[in-house]
Amino acid sequence: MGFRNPWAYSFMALFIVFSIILLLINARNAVEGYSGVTSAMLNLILYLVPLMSLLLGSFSLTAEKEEGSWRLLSAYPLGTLSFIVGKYAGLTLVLWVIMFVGYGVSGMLGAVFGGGFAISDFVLFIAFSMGLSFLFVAIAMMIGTFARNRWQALTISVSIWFFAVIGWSSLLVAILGMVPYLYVKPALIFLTFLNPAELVRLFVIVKLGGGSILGPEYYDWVHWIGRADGTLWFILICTLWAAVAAGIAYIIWERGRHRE
Amino acid sequence: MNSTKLMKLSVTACLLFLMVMLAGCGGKEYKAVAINEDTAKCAVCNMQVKDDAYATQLVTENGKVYLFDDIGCMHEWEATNPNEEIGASFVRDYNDNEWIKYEDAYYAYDASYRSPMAYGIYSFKDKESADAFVKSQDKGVVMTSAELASHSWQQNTDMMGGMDMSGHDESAHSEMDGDMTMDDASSDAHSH
Amino acid sequence: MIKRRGWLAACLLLLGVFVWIAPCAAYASLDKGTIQQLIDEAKPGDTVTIAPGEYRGAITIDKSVTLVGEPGTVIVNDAAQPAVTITADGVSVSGITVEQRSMEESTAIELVASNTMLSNLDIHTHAFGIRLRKSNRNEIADNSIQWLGEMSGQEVKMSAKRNGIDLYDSHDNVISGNRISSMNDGIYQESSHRNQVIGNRIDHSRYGIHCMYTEGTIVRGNAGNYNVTGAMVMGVTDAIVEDNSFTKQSENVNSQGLLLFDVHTSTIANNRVEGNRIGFYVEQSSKNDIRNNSIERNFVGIQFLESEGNELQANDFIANVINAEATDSPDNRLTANFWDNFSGIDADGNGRSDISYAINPFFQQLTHQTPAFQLFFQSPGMQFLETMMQSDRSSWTVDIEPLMMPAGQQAMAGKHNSYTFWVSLCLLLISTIIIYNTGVKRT
Repeated sequence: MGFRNPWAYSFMALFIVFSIILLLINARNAVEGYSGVTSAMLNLILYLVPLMSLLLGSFSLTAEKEEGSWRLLSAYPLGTLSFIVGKYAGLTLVLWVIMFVGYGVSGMLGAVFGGGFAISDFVLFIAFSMGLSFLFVAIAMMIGTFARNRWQALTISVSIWFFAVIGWSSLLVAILGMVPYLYVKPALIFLTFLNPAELVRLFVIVKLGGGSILGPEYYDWVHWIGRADGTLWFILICTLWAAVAAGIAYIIWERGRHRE
Repeated sequence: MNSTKLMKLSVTACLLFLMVMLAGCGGKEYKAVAINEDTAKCAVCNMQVKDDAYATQLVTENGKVYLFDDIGCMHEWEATNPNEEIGASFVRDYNDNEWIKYEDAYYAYDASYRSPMAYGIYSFKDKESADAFVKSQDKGVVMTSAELASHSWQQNTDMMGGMDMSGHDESAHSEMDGDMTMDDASSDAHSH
Repeated sequence: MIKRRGWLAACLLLLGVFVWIAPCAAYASLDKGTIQQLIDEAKPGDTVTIAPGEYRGAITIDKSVTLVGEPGTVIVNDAAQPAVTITADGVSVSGITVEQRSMEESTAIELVASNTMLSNLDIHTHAFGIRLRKSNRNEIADNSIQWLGEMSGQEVKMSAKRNGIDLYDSHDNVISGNRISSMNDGIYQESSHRNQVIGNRIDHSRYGIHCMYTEGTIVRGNAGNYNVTGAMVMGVTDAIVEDNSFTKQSENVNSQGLLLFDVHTSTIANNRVEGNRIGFYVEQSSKNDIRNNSIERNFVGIQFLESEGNELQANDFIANVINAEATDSPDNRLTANFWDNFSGIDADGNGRSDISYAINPFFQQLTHQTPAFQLFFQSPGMQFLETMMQSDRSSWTVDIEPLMMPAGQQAMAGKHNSYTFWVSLCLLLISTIIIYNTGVKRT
């Protein structure tokens, strides 16, 4: 499946280069915990992984439409649900393998030549990237169902990526500036749950031990995530998130199938 | 086609959400919030606000709460933020830590009373307990909130007589107050 | 010579007394008054040596004697008054373990005297450790003070704890080499001047060193870690804070390495602040000299609020998540600091950049108005927004000529991590298998 797609290999090459950059940043000042180094790495991952997931995921679905393979599949007694779930699982696996290769290479290099990652941070970053791609592939599935062709998928993917990763703070600061003071925090928390990039970023900051920088406003949340069962809850929320997104994709895809 | 439908749906949802939020913004009943010692910080001096009788707080009209570790810090905040619309401010009864409105409380002051930022003002829910306290200390005056408005807000930083930096009269320094008893109010507030 | 011999004789005599008393201590614990009796019988200038054993408090020392505990000497006090009260000048106490069990507002050792020497005491307390009131020129050295621990498993709020060493209206004391753990404030000084706090170690307390309204305080060579704040310096003039290390104060939402509030004309030099929530927090402080500090791996390196006329020179800011924030702080002189997130240009080769380093106040202003936005701390989107907010640059705090290389020595942490190697190997193996099975094999 995915690994016959040349896109997957070019992303793999990109990710290897990217993870070596992370290694170089880390080697400059190897530390554990939340610091300037880990924060910079976190943000770099936050730029690349969602974009990669969105493009690869949405292209994979639009390709089915464009190349007509979906029409072929529709003729078979294959349920739309198993199609969507299969696509989702397959794409996630492809992305995870790409990251495994990237982190594997840089992890080995670091361990051999020195200046490598601390094991706790390394594992956390891998988990962070896996979680990010898992959630953004879910969004990619939705984009793939909406978009008619690859160009549309590209446009939507890039705009969602920009909105979720780069424009997010600006947008929220602007919008919430008009909201009464007491509603800013609840609204912010609610909206954060809608943006996987923010959700996963905050989770990792707390797990890195940086939760106190979020201030007294989020004391209870930070405390909650920091606990052992906080991780389980987080995984549950992510799963729920993915299920909802994939569910929407399924409903729309199913409608499209019957309309044809 | 579907995408536009979904867009419409989400826009309506957002509007609904906003409306509910705005509707909740009705009548104003200010209440003192409980103090969590793990997070409470004085908005002026940055010290931890302990859940004790010296803690005070004020709520602005838009609902923002400021905590203070000493009533003097609250006064300082009001003086430096004259444009903020204050909804209500609260102090605590010295004896049972009950939150009381700033206006309804009675205040006992003496330079030798110790408080976290050395303003030396304690608050009481009624005049009797304030009088009783001053009597038990053998020093101090009782004020209403109106009288407190014209208070000097002098901190007892032991610099009133000791401003000379030369340090040659050390004995004068240590014997200045002359009272060596440990059972007065001064042994009450060390733990800030 | 004669003097020393006399002293020796006194010691021998006392030792004789103890050889006689000691057996009692071993079998039936001595009655309440034993140490008190010895003190009462001693003359000023005598040395009273206490044999090992558990004694009951409370005792009062009202004449200038030297009290020496042999190893294993313990004074236990259940009463609400201090275990040891010293009212006479020139007393010396050493080598005793003191247990202050009552949670009442009291202290293990109360000092209302001057020229006292307290050393090598091991204090476990539910109240204060050592309390000084109107007591000058004392020396408090090499003691250990710690929280006695919870009775019958009940959790005690941090605010129920009291200070390790607490000074009020007490001047010219030297507090050195003490180890303080799990108290409220480690060393608290209020309205007390020219005290020297040197080489103490304080951990797991609220504020390690807390100065309020003091003049001429010296805080040198202390270490604080895992406290809420390493050193809280407030309402202070002419203090010297140097060669201290404040690390890992990051747990609490209000943590910082060193906080200066209302501090003027003081020197803050050669300190190491590492891994704190905020390295240096400077508010409403002026004319201080902050130099040669190493500020590393904090969430925020330094924060300036409403402070002016300070000198910030030759400090190294390395691997902080945000190096500096500054609002309402004009007229500070920042020169020749090293900022690791800044790449300067040094055309004339003097080691200093020709372009300046400016501190963007946007995020601090935003979160000051609406603390909820702290959620965006160093998010990619916030970095993007900050680069857009470039208006009014003239009012920003600026380092005119930042250093190109760190001023101090850099320890390179080049760790070889074998776990990482094996995890990486596993990752590569897994991915190879998957690629082979799904991609290569089928084609």
